[in-house]
Amino acid sequence: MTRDDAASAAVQWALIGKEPHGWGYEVLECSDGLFQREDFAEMNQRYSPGTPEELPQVTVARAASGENAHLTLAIEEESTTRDAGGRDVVVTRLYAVPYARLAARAVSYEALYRACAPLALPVPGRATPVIGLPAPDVSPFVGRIDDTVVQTAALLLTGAPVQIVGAGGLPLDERLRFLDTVAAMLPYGIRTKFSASTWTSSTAQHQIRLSFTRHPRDSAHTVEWGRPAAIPQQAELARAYRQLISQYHDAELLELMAAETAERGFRPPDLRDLLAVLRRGKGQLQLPAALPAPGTSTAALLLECADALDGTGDLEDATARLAQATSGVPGDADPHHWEIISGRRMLAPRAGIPAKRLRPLYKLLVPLACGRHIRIGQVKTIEAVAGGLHQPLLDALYELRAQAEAEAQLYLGQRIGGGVLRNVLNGLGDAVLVEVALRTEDWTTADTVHQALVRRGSSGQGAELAGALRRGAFLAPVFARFLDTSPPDQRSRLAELLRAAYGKGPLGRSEAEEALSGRPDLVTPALLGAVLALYDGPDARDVLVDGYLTPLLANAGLGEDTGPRILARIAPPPPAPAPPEPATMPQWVPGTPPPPVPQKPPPRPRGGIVSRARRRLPGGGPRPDEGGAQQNGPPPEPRFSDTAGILILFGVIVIVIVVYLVLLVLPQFASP
Amino acid sequence: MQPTGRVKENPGMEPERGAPPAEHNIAMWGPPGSGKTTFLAALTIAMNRRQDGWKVVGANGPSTDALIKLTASLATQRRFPAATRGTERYRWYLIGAARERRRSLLRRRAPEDVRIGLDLLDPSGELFNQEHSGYAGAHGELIDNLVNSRGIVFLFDPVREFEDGDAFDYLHGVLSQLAHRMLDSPEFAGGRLPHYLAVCVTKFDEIRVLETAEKLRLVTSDVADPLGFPKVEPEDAQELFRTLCEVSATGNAEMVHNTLAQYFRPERVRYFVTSAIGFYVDPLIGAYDRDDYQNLLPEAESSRAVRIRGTVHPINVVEPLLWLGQSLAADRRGRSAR
Ligand SMILES: Nc1nc2c(ncn2[C@@H]2O[C@H](COP(=O)(O)OP(=O)(O)O)[C@@H](O)[C@H]2O)c(=O)[nH]1
Ligand SMILES: [Mg+2]
Repeated sequence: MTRDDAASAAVQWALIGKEPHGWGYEVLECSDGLFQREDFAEMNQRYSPGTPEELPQVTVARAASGENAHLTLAIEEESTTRDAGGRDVVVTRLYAVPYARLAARAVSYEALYRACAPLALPVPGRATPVIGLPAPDVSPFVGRIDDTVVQTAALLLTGAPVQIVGAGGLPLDERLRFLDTVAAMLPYGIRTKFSASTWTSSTAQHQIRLSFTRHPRDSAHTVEWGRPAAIPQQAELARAYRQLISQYHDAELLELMAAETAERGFRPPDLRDLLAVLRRGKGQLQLPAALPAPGTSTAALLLECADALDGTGDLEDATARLAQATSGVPGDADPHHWEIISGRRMLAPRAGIPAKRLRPLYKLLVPLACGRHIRIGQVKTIEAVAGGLHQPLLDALYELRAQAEAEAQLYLGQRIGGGVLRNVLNGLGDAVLVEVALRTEDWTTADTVHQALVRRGSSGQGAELAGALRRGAFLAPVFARFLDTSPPDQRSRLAELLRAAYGKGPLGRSEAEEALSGRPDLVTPALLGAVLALYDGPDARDVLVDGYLTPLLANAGLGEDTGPRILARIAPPPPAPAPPEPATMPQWVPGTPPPPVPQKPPPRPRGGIVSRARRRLPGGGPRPDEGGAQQNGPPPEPRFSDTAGILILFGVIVIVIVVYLVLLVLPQFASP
Repeated sequence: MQPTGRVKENPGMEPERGAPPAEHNIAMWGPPGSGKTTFLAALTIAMNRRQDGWKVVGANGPSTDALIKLTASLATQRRFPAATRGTERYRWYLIGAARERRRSLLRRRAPEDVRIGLDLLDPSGELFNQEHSGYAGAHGELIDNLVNSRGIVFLFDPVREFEDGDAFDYLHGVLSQLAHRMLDSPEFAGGRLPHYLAVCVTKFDEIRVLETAEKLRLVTSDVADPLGFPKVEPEDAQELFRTLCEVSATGNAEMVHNTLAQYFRPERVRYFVTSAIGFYVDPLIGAYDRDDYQNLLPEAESSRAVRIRGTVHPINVVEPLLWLGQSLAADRRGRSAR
C-alpha cells in the first residue's frame, strides 16, 4: 500500500542548453525516471515560447496523461556559455511533477515555481529530488480577481489561445501570478491540457495557450492589459461562464474550481461540464449539507463503525455519519485511517451482517484506504488484509471501479467473471490494455489481455490496434517474462497478435518493419521469429536492418557523434536512378512533355519515425508504401494499347498549346 | 480575432489564418548556426543596397517589428541575431517598382506582379535532426510546415561542414519524411518533390570559403561593381557547392549534393554563393581589399563571441528569395490560368 507523504512530490528534471562547442540546443542532462531524454526534448520543443527577448521567463505546461500525467515548469535563463558561433546560450531548467500530487493539494503554478526554482540542476546521480507541497489555500487569489482576469479566463473557454499585450513593464513575478490567477478561475483539471508562458515571441509558431507577448497575432484572442474588453458575441460558452461565476464569491468559486481535479480539456463537452459544475455548485451551496457534530473526526467515526461491526452500536447510523464526514471528492489516503481499518479487521467477512449493510460501508472504507486512485497493489493488499475478496467487498470495489486504474479494474473483472469482465474489457482501449499487459505481474491478467486483443483483431478493428501493439512490441517482453521456458509458445502467441493487427495472410514488407520498429528495444527473439515466419518477401535481411537494427541503434543513445556515423554505415544505399524505360513503351512525340513514367517504388521509409508520419497521412486511402502486396504479388499488367492512344492525343494537345504560346510571346520580343 | 469555439487540440492551434492569400510559403532549411536567421536579417540591407526599387516590408505587426529588430541588429549594433528557439515565422512582402503593362496580339496580359508575399519559416536548426528533436510533436510540425511550403532556402555552411561534417544528418531524415508525406500528392510527379529549392552556400566572406573558390578558379570580379567584391558566377555556384561538399569532415556531405539532386527537379533548383554580411569595406578605401577582407571581429580577447567589423554588404541574399518568389508567383499564375 502506498503511504507516501502527500505533502511532497518527486521532481523529474532536465537541463537544456548547448555543449561548450556545440551549435544546437539539446538536453544536456536529465533525471532517470519515467521520462527519458527524448521525452524532455519533446516537452521542451512542444512548448517552446520562441526566441526570447528578455530573461528569465517561465512556461508552465504538461506532459503525458492518465496516471502518468505531469505538470511541467520551464525556467529559461541567461547563461555565461557561448555556442560554437559565439552566440549567447539560453539555459532551460525543465521540471515535471506528477499531476495527481499537485491536484490533491491544488498546488498553484506560483507555488510550483517557488518549490522548483531553488533546485539547482543537474542533480547529482540523475536523482529525482523531492519538493514539499503547500497545503491547499485559495486565499492568495482572493482579491486578485479583476476584470482582466475574468475576461482572460472566459476567452480561454473558446478553445483558442489568448495573448496579453501591453504588459511589457510588468515584472516576471506579477506576470506569473496573473497566469496563475486565471488558471485558478478554471477547474484544476484543465491544467492537464493547459500551457501558459510569461512571455512568447510574437513571431513564434508556438503552441502555448495563454501568454504575454508584444504584438497581437491574428490566431489568438487578445487581451489588453488593464483594459478588459467585451467577450465576442458568438462565444456563448465563455459568456455563460462569466454570467455563472458572477453569482459566486471569489473564495467560493476558487475552492470549487480547486476541487475539480479530474482531467479535462477545452473541448465543448468539457466546457459544458464545467458550466454544469458551476450551476450545481450554486445549488448545493444554497442548501448546506448537515455536517457531523463538530469535533467528530473521520478517525473517530471510523472507530464507531468498527465498534458497530463488532456488535456495539448501530452500523447503519455509523455508516451514514461516516459518509457525511467524507462526502465530496475523495481525499488522500491517511495512514492513520488505514491503521484503524486494517487493525480492526473492518474489511474481513462478517457472517452475521447482511451484505447490503456491509457494501455501503466498504464503499467508504476503500477510498479512505486507497485515496482517490485505486491501484492494483492496493486491491491486493485489501484482499490480503480482508482474507479474500468476499462478495460484498468485491461488489463495493467494482462499484468504485471508475476510480481504479485499468489493471485493478481487470483484476476485479476477472474475479467476478462472465459479463462483468467483458464489460471491463470493453471500457479499455487497445493502448491501455497493451500497457497493462506490459506492466502486470499476473499471468492471468496478461493472458486475459492477450485473448482480448486477439479477439479484437478478428472482429476487424485493425489500424488502432496495430498502432497500440506496435508501441508495445506486440507484448513480446510479457511473453518472454511469463513463458520463458517455452519459446515456441511465445512465438505462436506473437503470431496471433501479428495477425490481429495486420490480418490473415503473410506480412508485407512495411508491416514487418513496422512491427519491429515500434519499440526495437523491447523486441525479443520470439518476436523476430514470429515476424520473419510470417513475412515471405525476398529481402528479410533488409527488414531486419531497416525495421529493427536501425531504429534500435538510432534510439540507443550512442552519442551524437558516433550514433549517426554508425547508422550511416548500415543505411541502405540511396535509391537507384530511374530504371530505363521499358522497350515496349510507345514513342512519344518529340517536343512534348514525356509521358508519365510508371510510378517507381518510393525511397524506403525507415524506422518508427516514418510510421508515425504515416499515421498523420490525411484520409484513410490506401497507404502507398504498404507495399506488401505490391511487392510480393505480380505487378499489374500494363495496358499499353490504351495508354499509347492517350499519350498521342496528349502530345497533340501539347503541341497546339506550345504553338499558341509561341504566337503569344513573339510580339513581345519584337517590341522594344 | 479567431472565430470562437475552435476545438482542435495542439497541432491545429497554430496556423495563422486570415492572411492575405497571395503569400508564398518559403521555409529556411539548415543546421543550427548555418546562418538562416542572419540571412533573413540581411534582407532589408541587401534590398537597400541594390537601389533597383525593390524593398521589403512587414505584412503584420509582429513581422514588421521582427524585421526592424533583425535589421537594426546587423546594421546598427553590428551584432548577429540571437540563436533561434522554436520556430519563428515572418510574413514579409517584397515590393518592386511597378512595371508597365504590355499588350500582346492575342490577349491582354495580366498586370505584372510587383508584390511578392513571403511567409518565411525560420526553425531552429536542431528541429531538422531527429536525434536532437523529440520524436513526435515539434518534428512533425516541421514536416507539416515543409509540406505546406513550395519554396525552400537550403543553407549549406561550408565552415561548419568542414569542422563537423553533419549537414547530411540535417537533410536526409527530414527529406525522406517530406517525400513520404507527399507521396499521395499529384504534385509528387516522377518521384520528385514539387518545391523550388535555392541552395545557398553561406559565409562566402570566410577565408576558407573564398580561398577554396579561388583555388578552383571560380572567382571573378565584376568591373561594374564599385566595391570590387570577388564573385562566383551563377553558373559556377553549383560547382563550388559540389566541391565544398567533398571536403566535408565526414565525407557525408557528398551525399548532400546527390540527395538534393535525387529529390528535387533539376529545373527547380538553383545554386547561390552567399554571404549575409559581405566582405569588409574599409571606409577610407571604399572598396574590397584582398589583403584585409574579413568582416568579423572577436568581441573581446578571450571571448568566442564575434561581432561585425564594418558595414554590411550582403551578397546574393535578395536573389534567392526573389527567384523563389517569382517562380512561385509564375507557377500560381500558370495554375490559375489553366
Ligand atoms: N562570416 C560569416 N558568418 C556568419 C554569416 N551569417 C552567420 N554567420 C555566423 O553564423 C552564426 C549563426 O548564424 P545564425 O543566422 O544565427 O544561424 P541559424 O542558427 O541558422 O539561424 C552567427 O552568429 C555568425 O557567427 C555570414 O554571412 N558570414
Ligand atoms: Mg536561427
